[in-house]
Amino acid sequence: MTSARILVVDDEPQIRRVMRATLVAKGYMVSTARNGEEALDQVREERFDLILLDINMPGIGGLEACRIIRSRSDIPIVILSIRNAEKEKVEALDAGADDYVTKPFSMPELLARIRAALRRAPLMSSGPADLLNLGPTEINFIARRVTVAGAEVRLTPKEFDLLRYFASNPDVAIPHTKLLQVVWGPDYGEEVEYLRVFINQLRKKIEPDPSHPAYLLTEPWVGYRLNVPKGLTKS
Amino acid sequence: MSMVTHMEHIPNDDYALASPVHSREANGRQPIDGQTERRLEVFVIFTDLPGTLAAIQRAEGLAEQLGAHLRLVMPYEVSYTLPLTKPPVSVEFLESQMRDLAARTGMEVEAQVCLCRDKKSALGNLLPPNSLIVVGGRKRWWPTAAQLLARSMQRDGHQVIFADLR
Repeated sequence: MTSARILVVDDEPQIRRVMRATLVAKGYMVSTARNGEEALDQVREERFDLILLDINMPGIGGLEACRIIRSRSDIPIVILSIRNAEKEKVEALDAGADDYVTKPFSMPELLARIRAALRRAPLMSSGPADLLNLGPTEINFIARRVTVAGAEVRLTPKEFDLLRYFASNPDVAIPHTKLLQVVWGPDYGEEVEYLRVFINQLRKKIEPDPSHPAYLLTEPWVGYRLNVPKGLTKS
Repeated sequence: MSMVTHMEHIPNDDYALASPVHSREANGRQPIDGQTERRLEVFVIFTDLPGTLAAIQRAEGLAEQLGAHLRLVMPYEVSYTLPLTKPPVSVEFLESQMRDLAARTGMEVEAQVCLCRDKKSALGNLLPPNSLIVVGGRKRWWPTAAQLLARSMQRDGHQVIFADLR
């Protein structure tokens, strides 16, 4: 029995219902979203192992949603579309999709493609560990909770996204531009002062001595790095 | 929305506050302040109308993402030839300008007019240390008044974001 988490994004309620029933019967955990905006919110809030994404949706279309999700994570994305033209498929794959399935599709074929996509991207390979301990600071990425010496500290969604990205890349110097594009979106890249403000806020919340940071370190002229001291656990 | 027109006069004749001009609670929004610290504030300093509008726009996004609230401050310099509380432009007019600006934001905001002899020293007294400040204006090779104000506040140890009018 597999326990991969799948997000089904489609504006048609019948398709969402059928997909949910089929996937749940196969042992997957399923969440649904009615459009691109809802999907982006869910991806920001929860961790998924695969996304089934319809192309034609009101608001942010499937392609745009795919582009935004891909700029932030490596979750496998399977596009579902009624369009069969080569140009559409190329566009979707270039936007970051891993596979393209044309509607109507047979369920066994879709399930096989889901299994294949999950095989290529082992579960949780790109996300941070569930729990990260930095001295007195404990970060639970599943519950989105941060405690310092046992006391809970509330982070805003943006601060948490930033911390999550650092935790996914411990001890790596991450350039300003990369951080801005991953956390704020592809349109950002030059707003270094934004980063400075958020890093300061994070330091105030998670560092024992914010004026002498031990974990969120500045890499001069490059960006920032999450320093996970040796002996501290990641589980 | 509340309106208070009394002047809080500081004895050494440096500055006086007409405060708050406008205060609006966020509509049912829960503050996201950390339990370990007091609520964060993002200050917008009035420079001129277009610059301040750009600053408000920038500050609004920032405040929303930080779970902070906005404070709009207009330091208005009054010459020594006039009493501090009797500026050449009526306080009501300044307040209405601030009210209009504050009304453009969709979030919790507090606006304040500060009559002063010297803008920089008044702001130095008014702003808490290490404040997060947004100043708006044009960025030029020869620094504009807004750029100079931003630099001076940066030198005072504040975190300053300059919203460039392009």
